[in-house]
Amino acid sequence: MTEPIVRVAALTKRFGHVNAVDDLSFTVERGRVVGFLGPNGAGKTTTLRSLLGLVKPTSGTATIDGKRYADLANPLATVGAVLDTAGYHPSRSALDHLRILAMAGGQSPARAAQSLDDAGLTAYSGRRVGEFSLGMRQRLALAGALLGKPELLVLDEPANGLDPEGIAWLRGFLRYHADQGGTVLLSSHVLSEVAQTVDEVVIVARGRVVAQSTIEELVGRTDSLVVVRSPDTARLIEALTARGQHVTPTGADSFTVANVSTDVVGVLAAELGAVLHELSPQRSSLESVFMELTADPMVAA
Amino acid sequence: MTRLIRAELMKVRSTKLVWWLLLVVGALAALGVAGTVFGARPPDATPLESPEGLRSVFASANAAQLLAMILGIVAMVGEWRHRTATATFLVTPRRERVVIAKVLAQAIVGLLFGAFATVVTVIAAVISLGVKNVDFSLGGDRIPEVLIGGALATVVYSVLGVGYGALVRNQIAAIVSALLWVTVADTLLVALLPQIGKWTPGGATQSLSQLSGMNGDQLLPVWGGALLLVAYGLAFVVIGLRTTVSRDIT
Repeated sequence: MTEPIVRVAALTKRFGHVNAVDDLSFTVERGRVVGFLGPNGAGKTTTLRSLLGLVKPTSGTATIDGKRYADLANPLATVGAVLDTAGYHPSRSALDHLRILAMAGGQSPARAAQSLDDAGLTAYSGRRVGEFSLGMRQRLALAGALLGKPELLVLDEPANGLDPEGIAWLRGFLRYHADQGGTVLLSSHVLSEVAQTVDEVVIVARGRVVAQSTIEELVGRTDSLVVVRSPDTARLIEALTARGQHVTPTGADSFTVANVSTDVVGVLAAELGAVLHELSPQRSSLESVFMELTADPMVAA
Repeated sequence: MTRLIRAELMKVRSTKLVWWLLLVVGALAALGVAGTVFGARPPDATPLESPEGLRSVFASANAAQLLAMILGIVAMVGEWRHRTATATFLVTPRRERVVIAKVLAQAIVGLLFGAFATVVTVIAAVISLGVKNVDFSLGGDRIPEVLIGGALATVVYSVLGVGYGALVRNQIAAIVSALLWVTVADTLLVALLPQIGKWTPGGATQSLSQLSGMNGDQLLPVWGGALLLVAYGLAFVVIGLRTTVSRDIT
């Protein structure tokens, strides 16, 4: 088996008394698009910055191709990273910004113009970055990540600040990168934002991995629900519970039943002579599975 | 390393600040010459025609030092202020190489500042002293040493700026405190407590310019001032490295 392109092993990072990342481990295989998900403050950014050599782990390792980022022979040609939409000198032009990075990273000045074009910013090459919108800065950051034509892209909340058109463009771009055999690791605090783009997810909460699975496996975890609205909820709930169904009241005259068909509930209601105002099938969303996985037990208790 | 130095020089060139500072250098040098030649001289000052009087005219080129230091500070602090440190260190994760490249790039810029100030000073001095009919020789009275010493001190001040910027990291705080240090603290120490003042960067610079002033006899010899300045420069390079290499960039 080949070495995964990204390997995070028992990574821990302590800031003062807080463990921002706590014994966190996962791997990313080559050619996959992996979503790195978790609520804000779960340790996503700290993990990605540790992987990229910007933050020094308290213990554990985060490696790319088995090497620490600082030991990569040519970082720009190995990993492209989009971390920060604010990292620009406001009075520098977009093209100059990329030319400087290309020069420092051993890329030709022509690559700067090509990357700008790849990110759809050629028309703005001479503009001062201080005049850019958040979405344009996000594209410029991506152009910087593409300078060395890297195999691996690491993106921290790349959809932040993008309008719907920008998000669609980004999705297409990441899909294209993956189709070319590239690997993508992107973080987000909204699962639905990346569910269409990623092959698998690593879900973190409170600095730890709570799940790593494919999107299909995650969908398998969702429940089918039957929503019932009736003036006779008390009798219905009693009868359903007696038959071992899992019932959750959602209001004075409504409740949901998990993993049951509408037929079963309908027949039961007829037997009881209960009036039904609504009987409809639903699926719990990926988002609710995500919320459940990342819920803070302290808060829930 | 050449690539990194070129990248750092591109950073300097790609904003307008360097040209404004250069304009100020030229203006200060020219005004300094004119002020020394045409301004009222204190009764106890050495006459303008004396070797030391002439040296004080040519020491106007030292105006480049403060501005070179400011540019050095801005070059380093800007990486934090504009959060460009992230991109810079992603491209070059061996951060000590970035700091060294920045130091060398700013040293080159400092040398250009010093050379520009020297040219402006010489032109302004030739004109001003000519108008006043003061006889002098550019090659005499150790004037070349004053000019060369001033230009080399400018290089050191550029390097000091980079190291100081790495230490303080807040642009306003770094520039204001550095200016107060060099223009007020050092000047006062040299004037009032020369036995301490001569060991400051300001004292070392004065000994390079070979101006006796009130306490000139107590300043270091020229070679001592030069060595001390270089030592300050190296110390601040070490400070720049120590404060930058292992810092978390969050």
